[in-house]
Amino acid sequence: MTRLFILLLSREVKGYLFNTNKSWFALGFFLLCILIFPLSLGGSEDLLKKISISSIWICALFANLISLESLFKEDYKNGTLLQYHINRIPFFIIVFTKFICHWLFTGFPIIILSPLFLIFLSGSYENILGLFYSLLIGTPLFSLIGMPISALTLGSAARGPILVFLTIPFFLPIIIFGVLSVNSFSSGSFSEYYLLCAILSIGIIFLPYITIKILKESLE
Amino acid sequence: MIKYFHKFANPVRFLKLAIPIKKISGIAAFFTIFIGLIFALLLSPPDYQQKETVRIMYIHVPSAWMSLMTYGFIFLSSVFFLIWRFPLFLILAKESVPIGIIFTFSALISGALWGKPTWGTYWVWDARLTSFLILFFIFLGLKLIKDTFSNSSKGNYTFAYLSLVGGFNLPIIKFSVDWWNTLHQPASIIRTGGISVSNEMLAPLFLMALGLFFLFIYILLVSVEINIKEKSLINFRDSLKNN
Repeated sequence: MTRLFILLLSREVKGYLFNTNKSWFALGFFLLCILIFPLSLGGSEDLLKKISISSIWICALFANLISLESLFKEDYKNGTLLQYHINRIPFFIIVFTKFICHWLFTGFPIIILSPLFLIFLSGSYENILGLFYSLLIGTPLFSLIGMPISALTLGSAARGPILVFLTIPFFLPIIIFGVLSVNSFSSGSFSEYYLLCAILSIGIIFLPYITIKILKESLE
Repeated sequence: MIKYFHKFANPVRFLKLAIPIKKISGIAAFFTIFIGLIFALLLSPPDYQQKETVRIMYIHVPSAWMSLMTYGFIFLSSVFFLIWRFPLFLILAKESVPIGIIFTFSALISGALWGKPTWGTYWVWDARLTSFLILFFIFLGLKLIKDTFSNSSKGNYTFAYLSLVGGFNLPIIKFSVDWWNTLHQPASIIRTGGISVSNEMLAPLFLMALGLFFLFIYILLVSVEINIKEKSLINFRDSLKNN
């Protein structure tokens, strides 16, 4: 089982590494999105300092959303998923490897780069740790919530618009608590972090399970 | 329980039962809403703080209750559909989506209109209002799925699973007023320690809620009837083609 997991994980990672479009797309989109904020505010540094945390969260959300489209698409189209299903490979391994890889190539670079961009946007060091922790809990949640919806829309003709329309309402609670948690971090309150952790611990059990159900349904 | 469902999973048998219920609930909806409106607009006393604007409550609260109930109904029907695979549950769930959109929309609009005279603003981003707006968007997403996938079996499962995933929002809406300090007032009907609304206001409120409930059943059964008959017509046409 562990060997299978490592095998599939390495296959996924290779898929991301060799397909440069796939791996750099999310991060490139994040960088472009971040660029919009200072440019669109007309050089008002006061305003930029205020919305720096929110803008990083918004860009993380959109980068995640944009990369959801390719999560299962390729494997579904070329029949890899069906082959997995026929060969009775447990679906939770597939789903978890997909989740880990998706987070590794969209969430993780953003978490690593976020302190840099916070300094670049706001010019101060105060909220770095708070933002880092909240993104650390928040981005896996984005990937987890996006997974079942990405699986749901497989095979639909107008997939992109439907995916965006369906996913954003489910992302809203995460971004609300994510931004709130950074703001209350400086005053020593961690209640939003605990709430996000609670959602993560529920989500990491139930959302892959729902994804497995949906994927099996779409293959039959 | 399953045997009972099996008996009514047959669309023809279901329609036999549903058509009388539809007629009764249509008449009941008309009269309860009519009497309820008379009580609400003319006979009930104005609030000592909010004066006449309190009458918006008789539209706002029942439609908010009904939109939550509609989502609960969709959620349960989807669960039953996924467990027992009776297509009838899916038809029930799908046809209640537009009704849910209407109820949610009217609750949002009447709430905004009520908010202006009492809070001084049409909209605030507090927990109750935001989570209710999310419910509205989830309803719209369900409608989108229902329309784009039409009647393929893939679309059916997509619909059922999406309504399952969207169910997380219901407890958040219900308890948002208790968990966070919101501008929206906490529950005053269903709460520990009894009801905190006077009987003269409670009577029209419950009448309106009952009326909207009957209206929901009426509209739902009408659209379910249309859906089933349309399907049988399509089947009939296909059988003609094959011969």
